[in-house]
Amino acid sequence: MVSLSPQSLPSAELAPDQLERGTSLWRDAWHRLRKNRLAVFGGFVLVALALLCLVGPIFSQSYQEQNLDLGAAAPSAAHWLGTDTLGRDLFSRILYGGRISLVVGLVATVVALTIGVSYGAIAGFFGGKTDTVMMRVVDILYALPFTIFVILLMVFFGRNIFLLFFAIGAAEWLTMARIVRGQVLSTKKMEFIEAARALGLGRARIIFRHIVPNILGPIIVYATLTIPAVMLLEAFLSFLGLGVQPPMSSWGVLIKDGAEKMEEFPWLLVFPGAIFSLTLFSLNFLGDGLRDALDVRSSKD
Amino acid sequence: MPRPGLAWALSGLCGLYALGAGCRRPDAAAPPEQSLRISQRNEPATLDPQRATLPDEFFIIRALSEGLLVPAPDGGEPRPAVASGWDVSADGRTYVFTLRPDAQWSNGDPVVAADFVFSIHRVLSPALGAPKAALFFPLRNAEAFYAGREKDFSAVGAQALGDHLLELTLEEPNADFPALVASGPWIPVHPATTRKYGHVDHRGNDWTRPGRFIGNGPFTLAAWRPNQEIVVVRNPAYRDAARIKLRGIRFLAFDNGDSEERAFRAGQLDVTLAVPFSKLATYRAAQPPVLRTTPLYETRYLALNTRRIPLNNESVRRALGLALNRTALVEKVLQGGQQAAFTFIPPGLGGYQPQWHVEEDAAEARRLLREAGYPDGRGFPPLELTTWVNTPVLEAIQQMWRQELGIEVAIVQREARTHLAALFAGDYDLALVTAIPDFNGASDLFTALKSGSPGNYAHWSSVEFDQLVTGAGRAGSAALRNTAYQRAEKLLLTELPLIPLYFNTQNFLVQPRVRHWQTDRLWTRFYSDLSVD
Amino acid sequence: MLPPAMLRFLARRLLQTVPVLFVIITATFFMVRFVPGGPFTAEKEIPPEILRNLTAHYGLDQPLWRQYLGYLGKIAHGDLGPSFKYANRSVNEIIGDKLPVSLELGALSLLVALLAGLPLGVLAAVRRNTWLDYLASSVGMVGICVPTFVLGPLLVLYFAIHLGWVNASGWYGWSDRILPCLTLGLVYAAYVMRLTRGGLLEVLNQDYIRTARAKGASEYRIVLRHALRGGLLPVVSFLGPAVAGILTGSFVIETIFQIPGLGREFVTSAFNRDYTLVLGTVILYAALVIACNLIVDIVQVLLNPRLKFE
Repeated sequence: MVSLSPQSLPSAELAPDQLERGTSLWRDAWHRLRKNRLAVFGGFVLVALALLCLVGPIFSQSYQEQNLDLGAAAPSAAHWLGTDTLGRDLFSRILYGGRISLVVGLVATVVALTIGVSYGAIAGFFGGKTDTVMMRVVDILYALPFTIFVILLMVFFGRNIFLLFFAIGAAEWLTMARIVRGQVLSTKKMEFIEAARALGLGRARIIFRHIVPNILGPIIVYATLTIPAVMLLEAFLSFLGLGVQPPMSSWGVLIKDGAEKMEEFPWLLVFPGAIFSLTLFSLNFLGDGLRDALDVRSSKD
Repeated sequence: MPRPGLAWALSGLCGLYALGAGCRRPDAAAPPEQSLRISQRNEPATLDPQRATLPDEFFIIRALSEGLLVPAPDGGEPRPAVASGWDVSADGRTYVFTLRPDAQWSNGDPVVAADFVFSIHRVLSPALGAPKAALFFPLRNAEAFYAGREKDFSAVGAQALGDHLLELTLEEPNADFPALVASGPWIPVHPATTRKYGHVDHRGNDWTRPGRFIGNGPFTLAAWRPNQEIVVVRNPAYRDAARIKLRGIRFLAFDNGDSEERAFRAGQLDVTLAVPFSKLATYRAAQPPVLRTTPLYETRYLALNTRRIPLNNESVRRALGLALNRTALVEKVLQGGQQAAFTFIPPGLGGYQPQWHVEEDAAEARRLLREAGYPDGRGFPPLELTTWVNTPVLEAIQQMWRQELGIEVAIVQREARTHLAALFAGDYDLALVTAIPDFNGASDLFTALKSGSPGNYAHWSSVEFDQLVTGAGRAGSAALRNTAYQRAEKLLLTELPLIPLYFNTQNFLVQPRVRHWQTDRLWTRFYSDLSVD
Repeated sequence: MLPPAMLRFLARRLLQTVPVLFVIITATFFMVRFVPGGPFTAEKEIPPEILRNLTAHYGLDQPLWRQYLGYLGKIAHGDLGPSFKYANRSVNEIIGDKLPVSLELGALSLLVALLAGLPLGVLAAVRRNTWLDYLASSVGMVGICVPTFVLGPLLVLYFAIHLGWVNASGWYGWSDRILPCLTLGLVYAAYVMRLTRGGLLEVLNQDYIRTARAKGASEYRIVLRHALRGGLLPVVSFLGPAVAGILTGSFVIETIFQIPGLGREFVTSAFNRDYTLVLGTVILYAALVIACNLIVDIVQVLLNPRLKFE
């Protein structure tokens, strides 16, 4: 017969590894993300492209060496993706361009995200006068002429590529802030926020640890939309003489050049365009996967 | 659940196709009779001949009005227009122009010499701020009047000796004078019209609108829709109206060379202004031939800031010039029929033939660079080549210098006015610049390079050059003038504050139905003989 | 009859517009003048005396603060000043000519964007992770992956040149509207589609939707009557400034299709240093942005019952 006296009960101390592992939102999300094959595929493609653009140029041909006698040539054994009108290897130019485009896309979006999310969340959460003033400031910044702003930046701070990122990021955070604010306005009325408040949690904590994680969905979606917009904005700026300098180019510039010559030399458009689209599709799948993973209620587990 | 979506999509597509097939493209379906559609690349800021600066503005102005003379398409002596001829005094200082008695303004008023005097008075009025007033300075006291030193206009050398005799007196004999008279800014304005719509020399004077514009040319202004089109119609009051076969011309605005070419291919446009680079080869092979190539008196060159190290060293400048292969640039990179420029002044401009040419010799370039203290490019400071037009020529030049001299020059593309402001201020190392003369003569290209002149972007100064150019301006005969110019140009090309690259050409497309399209090498348009099949 | 809360809200916002506009005008006024080069900096240099006369005529030689005050005075009378680049045309006239064109282009493109993007987004969200979702999403992605300066010329090459159905450029007849609005609309359609899908997905898993489902409502009813109100929130927030942007024209579309709209002027006026035109376009754009954001804020409150007019 088993004794029921306290001394015969197993020790209250359990070995740590026998404790069920506590889990957090992020861990759960990661777990769900891993199971989403499309998202994983997208992620792999992105990482592979990034690595290719980072490391590839070391092994490939020069992106700026011209071959005036060759001119624009279709893909061949010597030039896998063909050459541009100055005889430069397109494959290398795409790899080098990828560096610029991917970094611009990433940095500008991170800048836009950081500023936009914080700003919008604070404005939405506090409401009242703070919100009014903050949103009016956004209105003001939105209306100022972007072209002049960029020219001024270039004039006063020289031609620094990081300036380009900054300029583009500075343009994109405004809409992000508005979207975030809209979301926060509706989320902050929800019961779990009231509960957090009742628990006496600090405001910063409520904003950044409770509200923001619950509105990540639209933020992620808009972030995946911001990255291509940023890359194309960079191309637009280059077209106006305010972006990357020749002989360096970015995907946006390559695509623009290719568009002008697409009837005679279709490979100049098709290959950069294909890589650009591939990146965006992967980003899209990854973003959707992230959104699904972070959405607590959509989980089936 | 049924899939209605697919069925809807298919029927929608079918519907669209049917709709589209029924659509006729309005513009190209039946080209209007005897009406021409010409591309207009820059929106005119003004159609007042005395305030206009761009060739694009004069394209339209020359359809609406003409001056005493017009340039000849082949570049020779200017041809009579409103004036039937002129006489020059023995000392070369007095010109008397005889006006045609049948020349009329579009409202029926006869064109008289007093109209020209009025126009000259207006252009020299300081308040108007006419940008090309300098083209009138050869007239006696013109510059003084313009600067405000001379208050009485009757002291200026322009007088009407009657209704049809105009006497123009010069400060000094000037062999270029007829070419000046044929230039765009010399086109007169109708006095009564300018008076009617405001103070005559007031900049806000609004007389150039359709319905108000009175000109004496082959067409009148019918409509002006900014950034869309400008429509001109045949002027029956024109002195030579019988010769004009076109009923009207539409100048269609195009900002972009690719849109322009697509419109041409779609049959919406008869004459373009340019051809996209990648399409040149296709059009060269096309039949019937639509591609025209016209050499221009336009020099593209690199200005070298002679105030900066190491460009203040003549050996360095000459090394940079010697290390180029201009033939490769025009044949392989530009491929548009441009001419490699071994002189600064285009040969034939105003009858001038250059004598001295720059050379190309990479070995000599390297020797000079070594002599200057940069053997194989070592220690050469990084320089910037700025431009506001992004052309592959610069990348090719960058490559040439890298290969031949071992130096690195970065290309910096600046926004247009930032670039120009930097040029004037001397805030650059090397820059790509275009030089276009205002009329068929070399003098303003030379005077722009005098010490202290704003057009002297290289900020170069040579007393001998200044003296030669000033002397050439005073020379009585064309021969003497040209000799002085030749010596000046030799000096220029030896000290090389600028490196000539190539002379530009205009490649453009003309539909086969267009007859008698003429241009000269200065962007002058000739509308009187045009017709369409 | 509008509820008093909304009216108070409107009044408050309209009042706030004044200082906002004032700051924008002032900032822009001084920004443009700090940029190097002026309206008369040209490749063929202008002789200094002429430059002096020109500057004097336009009042550019006066001290900056006096120019500023003079400009403010003119604006108060609705006069945006003369254009520096286009002699004899006032900014009012230029904007008056071009704004209707841009408004038409923008409105039609917006229509295309909404008609294409909203249904696709709803479809993708409701049929999440099925092949319909992927199809709809891919179609939406076309608008993002194919930039306007590629899509436009492609459409022109096929429909205008090859098939000959429409003009290659210009803005004359109704058929000239088709290609530009399609091109511009498709890009915005992609945004609308993605944001609608994302927003709806957030909402479709909320408890009140579960309740509706449990009550036996059909999927359509659920989506259209319940989910859409909350799900459209991100799209509406995005559309505020986007509408202002699309209505003031698109530089690229107007260049490709040669449309005499205002979008080009936003960029070229800066390059021409046409100070008054820059300010005129900025003021117009600011007014539109403020108006659109105001409408968006009102719509947000209407959509979400938890929100009130603050």
